[in-house]
Amino acid sequence: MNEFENNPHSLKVSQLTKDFGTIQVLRDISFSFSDGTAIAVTGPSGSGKSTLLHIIGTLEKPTDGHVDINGINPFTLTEPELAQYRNSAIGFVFQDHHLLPQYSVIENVLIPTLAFKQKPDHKDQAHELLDRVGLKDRISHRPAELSGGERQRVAIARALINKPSILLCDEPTGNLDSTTAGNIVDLLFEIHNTEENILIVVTHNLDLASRFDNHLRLSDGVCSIVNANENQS
Amino acid sequence: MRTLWSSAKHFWQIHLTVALCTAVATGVLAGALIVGDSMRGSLQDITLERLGNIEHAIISDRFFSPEIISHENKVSAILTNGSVVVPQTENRASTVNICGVENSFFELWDNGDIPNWNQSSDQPFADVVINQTLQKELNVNVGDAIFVSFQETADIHPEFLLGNRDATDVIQRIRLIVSDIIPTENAGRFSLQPHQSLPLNAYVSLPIIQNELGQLNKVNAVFSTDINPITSDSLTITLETLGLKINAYENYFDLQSDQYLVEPVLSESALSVAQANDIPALPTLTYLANTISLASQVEDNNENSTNTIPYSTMLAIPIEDSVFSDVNNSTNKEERLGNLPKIILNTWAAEDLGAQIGDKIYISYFSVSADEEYETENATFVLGGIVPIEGFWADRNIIPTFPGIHDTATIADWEPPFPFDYSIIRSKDDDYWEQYKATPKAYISLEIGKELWQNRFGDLTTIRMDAATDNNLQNTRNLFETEFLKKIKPEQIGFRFLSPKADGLNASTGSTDFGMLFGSLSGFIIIAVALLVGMLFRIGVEQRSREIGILQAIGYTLVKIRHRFLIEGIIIAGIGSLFGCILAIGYGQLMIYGLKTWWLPAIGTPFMNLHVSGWSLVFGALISLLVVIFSIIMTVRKLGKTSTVSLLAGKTDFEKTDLLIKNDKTSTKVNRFFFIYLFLTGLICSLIFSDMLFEEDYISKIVNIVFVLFGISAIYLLLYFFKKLSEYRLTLNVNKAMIFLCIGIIVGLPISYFPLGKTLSVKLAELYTNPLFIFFMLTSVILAMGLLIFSKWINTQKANEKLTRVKLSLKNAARQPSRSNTCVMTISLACCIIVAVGANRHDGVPQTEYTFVAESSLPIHQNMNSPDGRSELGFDENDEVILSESTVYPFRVLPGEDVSCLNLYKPEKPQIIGAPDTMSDEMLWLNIADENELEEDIIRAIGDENSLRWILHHDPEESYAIQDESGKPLHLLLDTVNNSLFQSQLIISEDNFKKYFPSQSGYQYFLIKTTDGYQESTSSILEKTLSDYGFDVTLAVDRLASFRAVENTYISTFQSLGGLGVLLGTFGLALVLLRNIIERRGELATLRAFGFRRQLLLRMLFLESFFLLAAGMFIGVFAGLVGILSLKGNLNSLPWYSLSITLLFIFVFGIIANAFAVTLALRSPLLATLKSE
Repeated sequence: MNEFENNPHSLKVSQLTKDFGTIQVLRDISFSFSDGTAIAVTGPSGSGKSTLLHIIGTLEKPTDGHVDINGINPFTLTEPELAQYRNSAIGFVFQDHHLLPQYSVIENVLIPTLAFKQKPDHKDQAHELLDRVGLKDRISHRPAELSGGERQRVAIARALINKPSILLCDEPTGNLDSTTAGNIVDLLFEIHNTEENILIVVTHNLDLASRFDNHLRLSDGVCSIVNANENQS
Repeated sequence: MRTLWSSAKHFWQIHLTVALCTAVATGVLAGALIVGDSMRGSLQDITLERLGNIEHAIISDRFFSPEIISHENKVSAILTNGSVVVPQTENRASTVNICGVENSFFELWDNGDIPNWNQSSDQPFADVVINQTLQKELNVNVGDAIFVSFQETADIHPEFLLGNRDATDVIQRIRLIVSDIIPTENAGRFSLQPHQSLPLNAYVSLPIIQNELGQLNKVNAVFSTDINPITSDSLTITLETLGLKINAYENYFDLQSDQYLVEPVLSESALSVAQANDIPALPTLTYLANTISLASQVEDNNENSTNTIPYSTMLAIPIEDSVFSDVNNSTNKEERLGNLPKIILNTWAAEDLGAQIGDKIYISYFSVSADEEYETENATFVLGGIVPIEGFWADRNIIPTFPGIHDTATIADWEPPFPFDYSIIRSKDDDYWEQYKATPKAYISLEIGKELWQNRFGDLTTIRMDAATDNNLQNTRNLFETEFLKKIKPEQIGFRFLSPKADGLNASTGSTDFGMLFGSLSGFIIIAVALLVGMLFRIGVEQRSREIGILQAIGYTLVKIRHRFLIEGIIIAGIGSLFGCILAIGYGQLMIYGLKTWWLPAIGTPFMNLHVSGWSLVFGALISLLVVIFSIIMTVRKLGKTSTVSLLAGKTDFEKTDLLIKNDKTSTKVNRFFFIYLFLTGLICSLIFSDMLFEEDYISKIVNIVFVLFGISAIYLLLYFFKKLSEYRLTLNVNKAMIFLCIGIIVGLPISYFPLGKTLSVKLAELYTNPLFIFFMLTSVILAMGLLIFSKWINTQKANEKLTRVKLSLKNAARQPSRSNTCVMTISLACCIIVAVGANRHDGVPQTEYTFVAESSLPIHQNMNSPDGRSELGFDENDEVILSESTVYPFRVLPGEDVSCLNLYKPEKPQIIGAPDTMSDEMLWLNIADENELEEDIIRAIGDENSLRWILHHDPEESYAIQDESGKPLHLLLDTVNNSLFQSQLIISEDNFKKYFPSQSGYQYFLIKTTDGYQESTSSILEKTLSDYGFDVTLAVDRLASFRAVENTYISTFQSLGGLGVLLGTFGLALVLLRNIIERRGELATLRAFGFRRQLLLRMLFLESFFLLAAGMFIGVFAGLVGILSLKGNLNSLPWYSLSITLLFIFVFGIIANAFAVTLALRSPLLATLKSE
């Protein structure tokens, strides 16, 4: 247990700006979400979707503006504190699953628990998560022996092992066929509903985005919030 | 070509690294060959420099007139060894080459200047020219006086009864003035001895040294610049050359020797010539009896009776010959007196003794004992005849000249070399001397005479010859002289015909082929480079997977793509190897610098210069190019195992495909390989053990069969184990494999009964019992097993639910199994070699029971263990107190070449030393005197195993052939010792030494044991008092240390090169790590995203490389230690200290290199790789 784990789940972004040299990728973006919110982030390529996700995930620092996660501005933390914060509060699922090929499924799931020494034994939790993602029988397999969808399920289980308050998914179905992609999204929603965390999914897929209650659309670095009805149309 | 250039430019880093690695391989290999070239070239340079234009030479143990050699362009000289002392400073130099020469000697060198001989014209002393090396040793200048001591020549051998052994008689000491100091080059470096060390030379005018030695117009060396060799045909041997003379009389002529005794080779030839030409010959042996008396008086203890005749000449003659029939028949009491031999007295002696026919006659005489002491011997005879002093019995000419006796007027004037008691001389003895001189008083049979007085210098003193049948005396004499001289071969009498230049150039190939040595030492580096290049090229190919995929997609065949990569690789490797040639010269120069500085003990003298042979460069470049190309081919062959789609997706992991696909084809191939391998194993085992299986003894037969069955089951278990280990990769059919093994065994048995099979069986059995073979096999098997286990571990990582950071890190090593295996293989191989080599290093002070090793330039005849002997050598009472605390073991020395590792030339004529009998108590191994069951020309000898094996390049199991003094072949049956003081010579027993090298006198090599506390004073006293002998004392531990230093230096060289290999291995490891990290950036970024701090990632990556390094080192060290254990039987002598330091150095270096690679790789931002856009 650590100081970041028991805070209520909330995400508040205000006047967020990100520049890469002379190019401004994100401009004055503000939004706020709390427990149980699922958000889709869409927009054309280069619109800053992944950058936004990385800033929320504390992987990148904003040029300007504020990010408040569970009442804490992570960018005020020291490097070790930030790492610990990210480890306990944020879960990531990437387009390319980034599973470590030399480790088995269960080992990959357990890896985030090793970032800090004080973590308790997560073996049962890992088993439970793999059961939930439907890979109970594949725990000893290596990523190379799994299908794309299975790999992404492992990545989801890995992202959830530390019970994060925010689950960030960057194009989680980008490399998958539509059926598998649908299954993955179903799984994400199922877990989201159980865990009641904040789910943010970056996607190009508008059909997928339409399944989310909240939809952030990024265009030229500017963010607009689209409601559910609009999504359906 | 353009595309090749473009790809070369684009992937310049990897290509540059491949080219550099090839350059390193070429540089190291060609550089090693250049070191060999340089060693040979430099030794050749020394040979040419020390010999100038001298092509051939005659060297002789005896002095001769140069006129006897009918050869053009000859230069004569006297060459001898000696010592030099500076009277003012008492600085000494021993083992000085003293050369009696004329100006023509210096003209043998093209640019040789004539030295200044006339510096001291105002001095009463003669001049001496010395070389700079001697000048430095003595610290003298032109105009300074020096004492030069050398061996006096004597007609009679010092160890014979009549020889002189006193220092004043044996050593010639002359005072000379240094008139010139010449550089130690050209004539200043003259030496006939092939050795790289700088000689200490003193040049004295030839007439002066001839005069001092009493050898006017005689020399003992002749040099020729003629390309045609001097043969024995160009030598006209005269009686004078042989030290013989013929004294002609009215009815006969006598052959006698200046040496008193006629040398056996000459007397045998003379008698055979006489017999062949029907010349009646009477061989005789003259000796001196100390007393002749009636045995009855001696038995009554009445030795001082007036009836004892002192100091009488006795003559041994073939008394059984018909010419002596008169005296032969006159015995009538012989049977009554048993089988005592007969003696004949002349009337004077018989009357003096009051002896009658049949009386027992007692004689006493001196002999020289093994330690050169005079011992009184005696013999009892029965008086067989009394002869009047007339005719033959009054002939004193038959007695050769007794030095110090012959020309004296009275007995009181005698100056014999042996102890002489003047008090027992009676007036009637003087009367006899005055009237009859040395006319013999007693005669015995030659057979008995030889039995009593024969020694190694001869057994006859005079051969008297009459006119041959139908010929007059003069013609007979001429005939004899002609035929006799024709029969004598110069080689038999100590003339040696040398071709020093050709021999020297031949010996310049060296006792140790440094090219091969460094080449083989560099072999490991070449292997390391090959592995590294293979790995680099593989990385290069992997980097270009998309390119391969695209080429395949647009229709390029796999063969074409392989071809393209291969050509690219060859061009890059070719450029690398060209660059490597330049590197080779630099590397060679560096190694030579190393040999002249850090590794100087290996060559002793910093004489080496760079010699580059084009062949070495071409050979080095070609070999390394071939190795690299082979490595590239092996890599390129793997192309095609990955699908085009995967390649297009940038997935290049050959590893994964290797890892996951159980390829039936591969499995079949492996099975086939194993079947053939096991069939051959069975065949070989069957051949090796065929003798054992067919033992006569029934029980042995059963035991051996059980042993074989046990072996088969052991192989089965091993295979089963191997199959278990390898199940992830192949399916091995163990049962089939065992069938093939059994077929091999069954096929081998009948084969072993055919002659070829038997030969093969013997050879294989020899190999099987060779400890080195066992060592290599054992270490190879352990290395292979270690790597197999590591590979198995890497490839079959099971899911671990109790994951820890350490386990996480270790598992990372399995990310690229092939790369990890390569690294571990390289490191383990390097460590195994380093341990195996390092185990031979000798740390600490060497141990020996002896305090000193001493050598003298001139032979010493006195017994240094007896007060009398020491007194004779000039030690005073104070010295006596100190020296009585020491025991000296003297050895006889036959001059020859140093066969230890201190001599870089290839020795042809090893130094032989004769060990005294007393040594056999000291050295239990010294059974060289045991002549049982040996043929005539075979004697036992001892040599140092390393010297025999590595310097003489001789298998100690086989006898070593040398020649005795008369040129006859002699075979040495060798026993070996290890790391002893006797690394420079071969040892035979003193008795054999005297038998086969009779003319070598005295002792020149000594081992000395001294009580603690007396060491310094003993050394100082010995060197000072025996300075004229050139007595040089060295601490025995220092001598051993100098041998060890060479060995340790070789090991250091090897370890340095091994270290370079480890460096490359570590570089490879760092490269693997770097490459792995770059490939795993996404994974590492993910870990960062999940909260892994940079420090933690660094630690994990570092632990991963640490694991590979530790695994490699562990396997290598373990294999090396087991190998050493098999070779030496224990690990007690292992130099743990130096070995630990070396391994620690490797480990620390590896850690630093890996830490550097990890830090470098993690410097670039990782998180960018996570973005999907």
